[in-house]
Order: sequence, then C-alpha cells, then structure tokens
Amino acid sequence: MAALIDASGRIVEPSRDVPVARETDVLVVGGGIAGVMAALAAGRCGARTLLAERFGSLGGTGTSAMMNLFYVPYPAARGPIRELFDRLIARDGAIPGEFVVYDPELYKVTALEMLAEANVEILPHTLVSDVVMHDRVLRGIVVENKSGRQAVLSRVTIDASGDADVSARAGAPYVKGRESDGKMRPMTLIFRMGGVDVGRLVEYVKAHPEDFSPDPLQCMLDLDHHMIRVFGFFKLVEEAKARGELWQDCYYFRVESVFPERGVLTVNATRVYGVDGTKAEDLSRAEIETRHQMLQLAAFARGRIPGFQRSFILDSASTIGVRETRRIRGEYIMTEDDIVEGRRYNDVVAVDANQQNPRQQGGHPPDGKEGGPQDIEARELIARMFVYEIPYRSLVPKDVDGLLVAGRCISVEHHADVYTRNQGSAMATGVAAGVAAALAAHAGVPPRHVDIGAVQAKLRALGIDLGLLGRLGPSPERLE
Amino acid sequence: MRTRPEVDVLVCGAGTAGAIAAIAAARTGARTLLIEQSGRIGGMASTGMSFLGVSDAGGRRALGGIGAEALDRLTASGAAFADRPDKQVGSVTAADPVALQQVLLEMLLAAEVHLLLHAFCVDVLLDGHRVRGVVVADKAGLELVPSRATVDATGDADITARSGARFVLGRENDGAMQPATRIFRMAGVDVTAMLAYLREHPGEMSLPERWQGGLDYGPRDLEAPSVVMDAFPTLVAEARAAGVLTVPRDRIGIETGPVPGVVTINATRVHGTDGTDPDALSRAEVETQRQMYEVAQFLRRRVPGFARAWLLDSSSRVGVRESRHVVGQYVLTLEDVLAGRDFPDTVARGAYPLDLHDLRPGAEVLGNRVGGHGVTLRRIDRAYGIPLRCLIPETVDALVVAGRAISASHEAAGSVRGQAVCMATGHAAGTIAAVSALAGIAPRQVDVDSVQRTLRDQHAILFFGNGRA
Repeated sequence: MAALIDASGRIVEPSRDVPVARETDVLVVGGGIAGVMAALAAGRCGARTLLAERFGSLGGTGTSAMMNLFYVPYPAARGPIRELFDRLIARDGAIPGEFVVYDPELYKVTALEMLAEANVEILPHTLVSDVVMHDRVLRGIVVENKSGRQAVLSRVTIDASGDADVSARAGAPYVKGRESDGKMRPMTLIFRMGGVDVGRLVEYVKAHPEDFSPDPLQCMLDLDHHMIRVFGFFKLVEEAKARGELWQDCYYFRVESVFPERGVLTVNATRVYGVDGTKAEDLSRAEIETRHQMLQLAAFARGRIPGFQRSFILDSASTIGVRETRRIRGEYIMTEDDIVEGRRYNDVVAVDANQQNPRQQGGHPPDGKEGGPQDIEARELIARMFVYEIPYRSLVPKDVDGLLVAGRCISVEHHADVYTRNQGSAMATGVAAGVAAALAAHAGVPPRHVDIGAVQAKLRALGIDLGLLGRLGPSPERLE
Repeated sequence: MRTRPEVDVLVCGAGTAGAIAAIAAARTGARTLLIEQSGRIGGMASTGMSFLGVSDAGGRRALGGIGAEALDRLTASGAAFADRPDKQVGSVTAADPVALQQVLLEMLLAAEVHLLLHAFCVDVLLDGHRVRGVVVADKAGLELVPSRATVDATGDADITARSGARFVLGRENDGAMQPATRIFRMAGVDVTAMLAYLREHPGEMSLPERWQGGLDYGPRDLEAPSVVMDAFPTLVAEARAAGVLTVPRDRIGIETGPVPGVVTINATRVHGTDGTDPDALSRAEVETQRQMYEVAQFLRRRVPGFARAWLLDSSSRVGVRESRHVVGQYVLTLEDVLAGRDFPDTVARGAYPLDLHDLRPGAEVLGNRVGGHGVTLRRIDRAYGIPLRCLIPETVDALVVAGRAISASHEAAGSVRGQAVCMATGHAAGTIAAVSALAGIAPRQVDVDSVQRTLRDQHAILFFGNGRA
C-alpha cells in the first residue's frame, strides 16, 4: 500500500482498511516511567494490558535520555515505586537518598521483569500516528511499526507519551508551554563521563564554595553515602567563555548521578532554547546543537576541573531530553498555589514530594540565562521540600472519553509543572492512571465516571500512601 | 497531508550505510535529506562493535572513500586504533562509538545534509513504478517528503518492500534468518587481568570448529591494542552446566577498544526473529535484555577481570542481522564472495568475513548441521566486488538500496551485512542516487563509467591494481 500520484498530479492515499492487531482492556502509550507504572498497576489490577513504546527499551527519559535520577526522596516512595527502588538497590543498581540515583541498564531489565510478572504485554518500536475515535470516545490508536499501519483497540487508553500525543490527536484540549507566551523549557542532551577522580572533584568543590550554588541539594558532597551532585563552576565557566571555549549562553557546569567508585557521572548541562518537542525539525536541530555543546563541555572539564584530567565521554543519550511540551486541559488544572499551600482533594490519587524554590522557574526557565548572574535560584536560594496531592481530575482530559493521561502532560499550569514534570510525579500519576483505567475498563464506565472511592481503595491496597500530605503538611523538615 | 519541498536525494535510515550515503550524495552535489527514526546517527555502528574487514585477509584495503575517511579521522584523534591485520576477520579497527557518532555528524553537517531525526518512514509515494518520496510519521503526525531519488538504508528494505518491489525474506528455501542480538558494553573491566587470564588459558581463545583450522588465536594476538575474539568456551560450558547461563552461545564475543576499561560484549541471541514482524521484535527486545543481565552476572562472577565491572549501555534497538534481501538485476552469491570476484560494474568492495550465526539448533549452514550455539565463519582472502546491479531493485525506479538489504543471497548476505561493507555500499548508493537525480535519469540507466569515476574521485576502492581487476 502506497500513496500515489494520480493523473492530475494530486497525491492521494488510497482508502484502506487498517488491520486490527490487538484488542485489550488497557492500552498504555509510552514506556517511560509513567507508562511503566501505569501498565504495572493496570496489570496488577487484573486488566489485560498492552504497553506501546517507540524505542526498543523501557524507561524513556530515565534511560534513553539518560536522566538516571529519580527526583523523589527515597522515604517518600511507596507501593510499586518503592518496590522498583528496592529491587534496583538489591542489584547494586541504585543509591537511595534525597533522591534515587540508578543504573539505567539495570532499570531497563528490572522494569521488564516487573511488567512480565504483572502479565503486561509490551510492543516496542511502535509509534502512534493517529487515533481511532467513535464520536468523542477514544477506541484505540493507529500505530506505525515494522508491519506497517495497524490499529490497537482498547477499552481505556493511558496517554503516557510525555507530549500528550494521543490526547492532542483525539481532540482533547491542551496548552503548549507557558500559558502567557507558549515558551517551553530548554532541551538537554545528557551524557556520561568516565575516568573521573570523584574524590578530587569533591575536595575542589569543598575548597571553593563561592563558585557553587549554596543550596545543599544542588551541591551534595557526601562521599560516604555516595550522594554527590555539583552545580556551579560559575567563574571557571566565565573564564572558559572569555577564551572562546564554551558557547556564550553557557553559565555553569553540572554533574549528578555520580557513582564514585566507578569514576562515572552524568553531565546535565547542555541547553537548547526555543525548540518545540512536538516538531521533528526542532528535535533534529536540538540533537545536533547539543552534541557540539557536549564536546565543548567535556573538553572544558578535562582541561579546567580538578579530577577530570583523565576523564572521557563514556556515552551520550540516544535521544534528547524534552522537559516540556503539551499539557492537557483536564477536569481540574493544578496551580503552583495548590502545591505550595498544600491543597487537599477529595479525589486525591497521587502524592508526590520534591524540593523546589517556590514561585521561581524550577531551575530551567524557558527564557534562557539559566545559572547566569541574574538567576537567584541558581546562585542564592535554598530549595524546600514540598509534599503535594494530585487530584484524579487532573488526569482526565476534557471532551474526550476512554482516555487518561499520566506523566508530565497532566493538567497543570506551567508553574506547577516545575513540581509535576519530575519522575516522582510521573510514577505516582502512572500508578493512579493504571488503577483507574483498569477499574473503568472492568466496570465498563468512562474513566471520568469511575468510582473514585474504589480507585483510592485499590491504590491503598497497592501500598500507596494517600495521607502523606495530611500527616506531614506541605513543607515538612523531614520525610517519614 | 503536510508536504515538504522536494529534495534531490532522500536517504531513509541514518545507520552505518545511510549516514555515509547521505554524505556521498551531498558531496556529489545533490540537495540531500537524511531521515532517521531515532535521535542519533550511526545505527549499529554506534553500539561499540569494532569494524572488521576494512582490509581483506590478503592485506588489501577494501574500504576507501567516505567510510575510510570517518575511521581515519577517529584514528587521528585517538578515538580509534588504526586498522590492524587479523588472520580470521581480515582486519580490525576498534573505535569509540561516541566519537564515531560525532565524526559522522560533523561530516554530514559539513556536506550540508539536512537532517530529520525522530521520524519514521511509514510509506512510499509512488508515481507508476517510480518512487517519488516517502511518508514519515513524527511527533507532528504524518508528513510527505518528495524526492527525485531515494536511498533505502533502513536495513530491512522497508521502503523497497512498501514500493512493491520484489524481495526475499531470509533464506531462499525456508525463510530462516540469522538470530538477533543485543550488543552491550561493560565498563570498569580490568582488561589487563582479563587478557592475563586468556594468556594463561590459551584454550579459552580456541576457535569454533567451523572456522579456518590451524589459525587459532594465541598469546601473541593479545599484544594488539584491541582484541576481538569469541572467548571463554570452558567458562561458558561450566556456567551452562551449573545452570547459571542459558544463552544459546558456546562462547562470549569480547571486543576491547580505545575507551579505558570498556569491553563490548556480543553474546545474547534469539533464534527465529523476523525483524519485520513487530511482535517478534518485541520478544527479541525483551529476551535479549534478560540475557544481557544474565551474561553480565556470569562475567562478573566467573570471568577474571570483570569482578567490579558494570553494564555501561546496550544498543537502543536489538540488532537484526538479516531480514529482507532486495532482488536486483544481479544477486550476489556465496561463490562471488568467497572467490573475491570482480564485476565490470563494481561500485564497492567487501571483505567482512562470511559470518553466519547458527540459524537454530539442527539447522544446516553451508552444508553442515549446526548445534545452535555457534557461528560459521569463512575468511575473505580477496575482497569481492559488489556490482551496481545489486543496489537497484528490479522493478521500481528512483530507488537505490544500501546496507545489508542489497541484492545478495542469504549466504552472501552473511558478509555483505558487515559494517565496513555497509559503509562501502552506502557510499556507492549515495553517489548513484545523486548522479541519477541530477541527470534526471533512472538509477538503472546511469552511466556506469561516470559513477565509477565519481566514486574513484571520492577515493572509493573499486578495483585492485591498475585499472580493472
């Protein structure tokens, strides 16, 4: 089957029957951490569950984009999330603490094992190109893969694509980027460096506190517990720029996910602004530009930072990391006020915790100059822990039935996205969407009419703690 | 449907063949667009495997042109070890895959190739028998990309298949395909300790039975800056007997290279994987991931040098050795490959060994019944020519094929699929497509002399000695 050029030169796609490859109760689109948790939860609820993923392995941003750090404090993790962490720890594949650093390869394997145990079927190498609608009800998706074009039908679909691809094509309302001007947070190509003398690096940072963020969350130097993260080198970067060794928009160097005894760490410091992750052209430009930045950063580190003299680029992410694109407009739109003030919801289905500077930009302003002299968040402020609830209504798109969302595309405002775009929230909303989808499919009701009490009961049965905010308040000193 | 402006040459797939094809087309003067499904360039070349058979076992250089230029650049910057002779595989060039991606990217940009990443070719646009472009699916939906000539470098001949041209899936008589493998890398390896163990246990370097006898590897082969071998048959047998290793391999493929403490591992295997069947691909992804962890545990616990090693990364897609073979005007045969044959219309040369992984337990491979755990290998003493006719599908116009899907028999494809050969056919395909698009004639009608002249000007190696063969 091909598109054809007819006698008048018009390009026509002959109408065709799209073969139905699968029918399932719950279809999860996207195998990032939100999709993995959604599929796991739906599978554990007994629903026939299929997970479609565009790459060959699971983990999405956490593996393919190499962001190998779950930005959620280990003590706040419950249920299947804690279970994933503990399985990784048992394999020497994770370091628990203020957040959880992990080994991406072991995470891929562990996620596969957990999904197999929950009888979830996986369809990798599968890209969603369209949706199957019956009036306003999403009945499934059209996929493109090595077999060509096929349809996958489902009772409930969970959009865990990150970019809300399914919701957008189904006609659900959404916003892209910041509400005021549509601008989006920058993209980053993450890479790892090996051969680093981490002890020397830590010594240097300790001896030059003035050149680093004062926030103990940004500069963690605990070699004993393997919790290391460094954000700064502000002056070294300015000097390198003056010599023409770094691009002009670069203001800092940042390493995290450090495995000290391996001499390996992750560099999260490339940045491209003004690019749209829903456009292939922009993604291509960002992939190219960040690879040049990567070379400059690696050369800078080798030449200028103690501990990096014998370091090298170990590998780079197989796809660029996208922080922000579309967010659906759901039955409820969470705001930053909701989070900071600790708003509670009758339909709470997820509780997440992470450290932020309230009323700022979450470290990655869409306007650029991140880490620059004017960026008080990078140079002066000290983040606080926030515990917050997410209502079920933020996972339910307006206007379209048969559909739930999980992950960073849930219904929140740009300034709340600072908190909810992280992997902790993605996991929590994933579990919630998986449970709700399974119950809705089983009961034969649209997800927006599912019995919320039953969803909450099932979440509790899976070990999720929906009372955390009530017990600790929105900004506790310590997590239990 | 959204439609892009027409390009002269469209290359589908930015793996080893496609990346080189796009550079070749652009350097030949064509406005060139390269479409790639993932976010990065290099495909299987970016997994950390060494390039084998850049030279043949007779010491003749087989790969020239743009592929050789990329490897030379890496060598000059210390990111690759220069081509060195090897008695089984002709030659070995070990390269840092991160640097390789960067070099390919720089060469693409310098040649002004336009890149469209994260875009999957899902259909072709046909005008009668002529391919006029492709339909891609990307984050923004479906989009039409018109072209004057198209290079199918998808590996699986996806474009050719959708255009209706003839192909053979797997082996001619029974459709059997070589098994799929996930290549992975381990870091934190004490390479010196690993090599010392091999030196003390030369039996662990012994060759599989169906390789050329009398050419066993020995301690001297460990002196090379990079080592490529299928090793540890005894340790593997012991682990299998103990039930801790279930992978259907009798040896572990190890490759060392310029990245300190990093070893590339070729040891996972799933038989009967049809790379054009999404369900089979899914099973292979899942199973090779399980196997990878098992092999890594085996190495850590039982192989000296790996005690503190960890899984660095694995290829972002499972590796498919064989799927569709396009049927061209000529089909390259086993005899052509083993005899180092020349053709008047030679546009590339190949010297990667004939490398046939056991199709399944009990299958027949080159006349022998195989156990399922091994590899049949034949050395290439004289690099063979690849005729232009193998790059052009029979019935469809404006389409050129590059990489492992070119017109070759199942057996011959066991050599054609090598990375160095993919670079050579990629170079040829890109140049043919550009010459055809710029002249406004079908690829099958291009003037062979002028294509060969252009390729030689671009330093491709077509014939040995003076003039023709």
